[in-house]
Amino acid sequence: MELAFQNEEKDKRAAELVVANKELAFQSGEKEKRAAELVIANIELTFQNKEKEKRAAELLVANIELAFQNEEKENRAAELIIANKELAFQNEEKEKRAAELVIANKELAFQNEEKENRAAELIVANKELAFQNDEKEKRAAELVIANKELAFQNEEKEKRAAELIVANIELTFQNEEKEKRAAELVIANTELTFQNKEKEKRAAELVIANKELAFQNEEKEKRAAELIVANIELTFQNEEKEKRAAELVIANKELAFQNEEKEKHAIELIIANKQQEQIVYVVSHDLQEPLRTVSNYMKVFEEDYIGILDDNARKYLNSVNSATKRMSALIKSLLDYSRLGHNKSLALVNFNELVGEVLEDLETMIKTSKAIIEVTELPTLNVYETEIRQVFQNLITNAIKFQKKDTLAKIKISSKYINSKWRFSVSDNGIGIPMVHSERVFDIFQRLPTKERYEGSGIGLANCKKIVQLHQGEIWVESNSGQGTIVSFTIPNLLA
Amino acid sequence: MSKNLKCILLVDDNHDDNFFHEREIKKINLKNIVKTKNSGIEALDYLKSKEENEAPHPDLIFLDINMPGMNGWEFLDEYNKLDKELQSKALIIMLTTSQNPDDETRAKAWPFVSDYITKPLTKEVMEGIISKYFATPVELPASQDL
Repeated sequence: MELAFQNEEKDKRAAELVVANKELAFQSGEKEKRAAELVIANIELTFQNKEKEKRAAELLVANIELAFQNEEKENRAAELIIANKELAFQNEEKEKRAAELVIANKELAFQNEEKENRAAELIVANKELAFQNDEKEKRAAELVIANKELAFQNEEKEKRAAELIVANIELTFQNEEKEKRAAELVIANTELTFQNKEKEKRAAELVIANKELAFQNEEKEKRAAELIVANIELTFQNEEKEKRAAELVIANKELAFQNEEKEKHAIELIIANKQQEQIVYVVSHDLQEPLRTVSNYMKVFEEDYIGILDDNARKYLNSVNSATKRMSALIKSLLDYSRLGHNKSLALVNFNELVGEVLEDLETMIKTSKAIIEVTELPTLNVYETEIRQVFQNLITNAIKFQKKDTLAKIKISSKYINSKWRFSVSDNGIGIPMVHSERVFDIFQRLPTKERYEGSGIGLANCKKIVQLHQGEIWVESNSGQGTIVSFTIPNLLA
Repeated sequence: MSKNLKCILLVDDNHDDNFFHEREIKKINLKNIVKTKNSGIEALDYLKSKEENEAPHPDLIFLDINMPGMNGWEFLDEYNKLDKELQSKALIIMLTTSQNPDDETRAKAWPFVSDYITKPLTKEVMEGIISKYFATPVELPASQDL
C-alpha cells in the first residue's frame, strides 16, 4: 500500500514535472524573446548575449533531456509497477529498508527544495554576474590605465628600491649603531631611572625640607621682626645706660674725691682727737701741780699756824681746803675721761658676772641705802671690760644716790636683744630727770639743779656716754613713768 | 729688803714739794738724813761721787718724772748703767704728779723701781713705806736735838 501510495506520488511528481517542463518551455520562449530584446537593447553585450543564447540553447537541450527523462521515468514507473510486484516479496526487506528510505527521501526532498532554491539563487546570481561583468569591464579599462601607471610606478619603485637598498644598508649600519647606542642608552636609562628615583625621593625630601624651611623662614622672619623691635629697645636702653654710665663716672669721681676728703678728714679727726687727749692730759697734769702746792701749804697753815688764827680764818681755810680737794678730783676725773679707751682690747665678758662684781664693790653703799637691786639674765659679749664695768658702776651708783628721801631704792638691771644689738637698761624709782635735760646730763661736769645736794663731780654719765660710743652704741635716758629714771644703752656684736 | 733707812734722797726740781715732803718725812722722827737734788743729772753725779763725801749712800730715792735737764726716765736709764752693787744699795720710789697708769707701768718695768706714788708724800704714806720696805724701828725723837 505504501508503495502504491509512493508510486502515485511519483506519478503526480512526474505530472508536475511535465507541467514544469511545459512551463520551462514557455519560459524558454520568454527568454528567447528576452534574448532578442537583449540583442536589440544591448548591442555592446552581443558577446554575452551569444553566450546566453548558447546557454539558453543548452537549457533547451537540458529541457529536452528532462522531457526525455520524464518519459523514461514514466517507463520506469511502469517498470516499477512490475517491479513492485516483484518487490512485493522484497517488501518486507524493503519495509525495513523503507524506514531508511523515508529518511533518505526526506533528505532528498529537502535536497530537492534546496536545489530549487539554488536554482532561484542562480538566477539572482546570474543577474548579479551580469552586473559584475559590467563592473569588471569598467574595472578592466581602469586596470589598463592603472597597469600603465603601475608600470611607471614599478620603475620608480625599482629605482627607489635600489636607493632603498643602499639606504637600507646605511640604515642597517645605523641600526646597529643605534642598537649599540640603544643598549648603552638602556644601561644609561636604567642608571638614569635609578637616579631619577633617587632624585624623586630626594625631591620629595626636599619638598618636605622646603616646606619646613619655608615654615622656619616665616618663624625667623617673625623672630627677626621681634628682634628688630627688641634691638631698637635695647639701643634705646643702651643709650640710656651710656648716659647713666657717664653720669655714674662723674658721680664716681665726685665720690672718690669726697672719699679722699673724708679720709683726710678722718685722719685729721684722729690727729685732732689725739691732740685733744694730749692737751687734756697735759692740762690735768699741769693743773695738779699748783693745786697741790696750794693744798700742801694749806696743810702747813693748819699744822703750824692754826693757833694764831681766829674762827673766821679757820673757816676760810676749810673752804679753801675743800675747794682744792674738789678741784683735784675734777682734774683727776677729767684725766680719766680723756684716757677712756686707751690701750683697750675687746674681751668676752659675762655681764651677769661683771654686774655681780660691781654690786660687790658697792656692797657698803647698797647696804647703807637698803636699795633693792634686781638683775635679770644678761648676755656674754665682746666688750672693753674695765670701761663697761665703769658704766654699770656709774649707773648703779647714780640710781642709789639720786633717791627720794624716805624711799627705798628699787633698781632693775635688764637686757634685750633688738636689731642686732643688745640693749641694757638700769631703771630706778628715784628723783627722775626732767626730759628737757635728757641730753645735757651726758655732758661733762653737768650737774642738774636739785632741791637736795648730792655728791659727785658730774662726769659719771659723760664717761658712760664716751664708753658706750667706744662700743659703737648709743645711750639715752627715759622717764620711768614719772617714778624715776631709765638709763639705757646699746652694745652691738663686736668681734674680738 | 730689810735694812735700816739712814739716808733718803729726794730728786725733784719743785722746791715747794721738796720742802713739804722733807717736812712730812721728818715728822716720823727718823734718825736719818734727807738729801735733795733738783735734777736727774745732779742726783746721778751725787751717787757716782759718793766716795768723795762723808754723807752715807741713800737707802731710798724718791724720784720725780717731770724735771728740766735729765728727767726721771732719763735718770732711770743712766741709773741702770751704774755698778750693780751701787744699784743694790738703794730702792727707788717714783714720786710724781702723774696719775697716768701708763707712767706707773713704765716705771715699774725697771727692777730697781719698787713703787709708784702720786704726790703729795705724807707722813702716813711714809710710814707705810717704812713698814713695807725697811726694818728700821721708828726711833723716839728723844735723842733728836731740835
